Amino acid sequence: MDDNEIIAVCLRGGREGFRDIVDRHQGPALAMALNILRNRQDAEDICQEAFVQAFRSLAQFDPRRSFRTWLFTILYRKCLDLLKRKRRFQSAFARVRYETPLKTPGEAAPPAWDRELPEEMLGRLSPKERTALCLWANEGFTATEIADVLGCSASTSRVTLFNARKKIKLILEKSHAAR
Amino acid sequence: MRHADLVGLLFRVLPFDAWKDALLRGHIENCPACRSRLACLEEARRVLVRSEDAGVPGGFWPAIADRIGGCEIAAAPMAVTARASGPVPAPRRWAWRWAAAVSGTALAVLLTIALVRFLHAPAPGAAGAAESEPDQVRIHYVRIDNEPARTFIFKPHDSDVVIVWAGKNI
Repeated sequence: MDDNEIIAVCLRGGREGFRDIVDRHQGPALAMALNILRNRQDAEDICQEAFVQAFRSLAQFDPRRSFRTWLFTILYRKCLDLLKRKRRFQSAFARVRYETPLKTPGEAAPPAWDRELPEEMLGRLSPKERTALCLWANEGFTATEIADVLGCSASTSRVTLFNARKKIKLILEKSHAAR
Repeated sequence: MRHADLVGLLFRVLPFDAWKDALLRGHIENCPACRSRLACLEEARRVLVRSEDAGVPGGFWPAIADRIGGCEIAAAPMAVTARASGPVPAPRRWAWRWAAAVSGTALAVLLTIALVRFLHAPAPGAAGAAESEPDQVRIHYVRIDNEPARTFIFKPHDSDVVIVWAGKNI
């Protein structure tokens, strides 16, 4: 079943069908939230909120649009809201670092993203640039789809992505030269 | 390479994203030198958290299920329902840009008019100089040889003397 068929089932009252939607999109959604927020706990909370809001607003979803783009739009706005709230109330927000997920005793090595992600890399990018880069690199979104999520024109999304790629290249070159 | 530097500078100074986008499409996407300054897909993925690395926690779905357990799917507002069956309207995000552009242009025109008026206004000293001249009043009812004559009345500021001068029109 594709997303639209599951949504149709949900709209007829089949609440359990939404689990398939969550299972299908939770990984990319959590990755996107982690890339934007750079904080594990916040990312998980925001992802859950985004899914809950998506469920509540299912009746407003236009089936001619991509559900994934719609969900990411909700998620992106929620992430921005959280960042604004944090910026407002935490003067020390700039020092927010990646937090490791709660480990169970059986877990050996930390996940790959925690091992390899240099803190400074994504921190130099704005949330908008991080989102554009994540949607482009992880999800294969086009400029138009990225623009849908960011709520801007395709031109702006292309320029945002260009700036993000340029910054990342510069950072990678600098870190490579430093070794 | 110098050409690429020039394009890079142009990209920095261009004010609008639409112009930058035109530059991106026109040059940078086809220029290997400029493209080499951008992170490729693999490099971007290296610094991003990927979905397979995100590590979705086990209690993710139960937490969502708890929260949606007590809530209903909100009914779509009338406008949204109507839109779902009709044609998709054009995005309205350009509306405010047009409004901003029009109001900005109007403001620029007003400022230009105000500036031109300010620059062409007579200097305050000029008015004072005109006032220092003796008052001159021309009268039309004096006639010489039954012909209207040019008549002037002079009254210097520093004197009570009034001089009336009439001359024949030639």
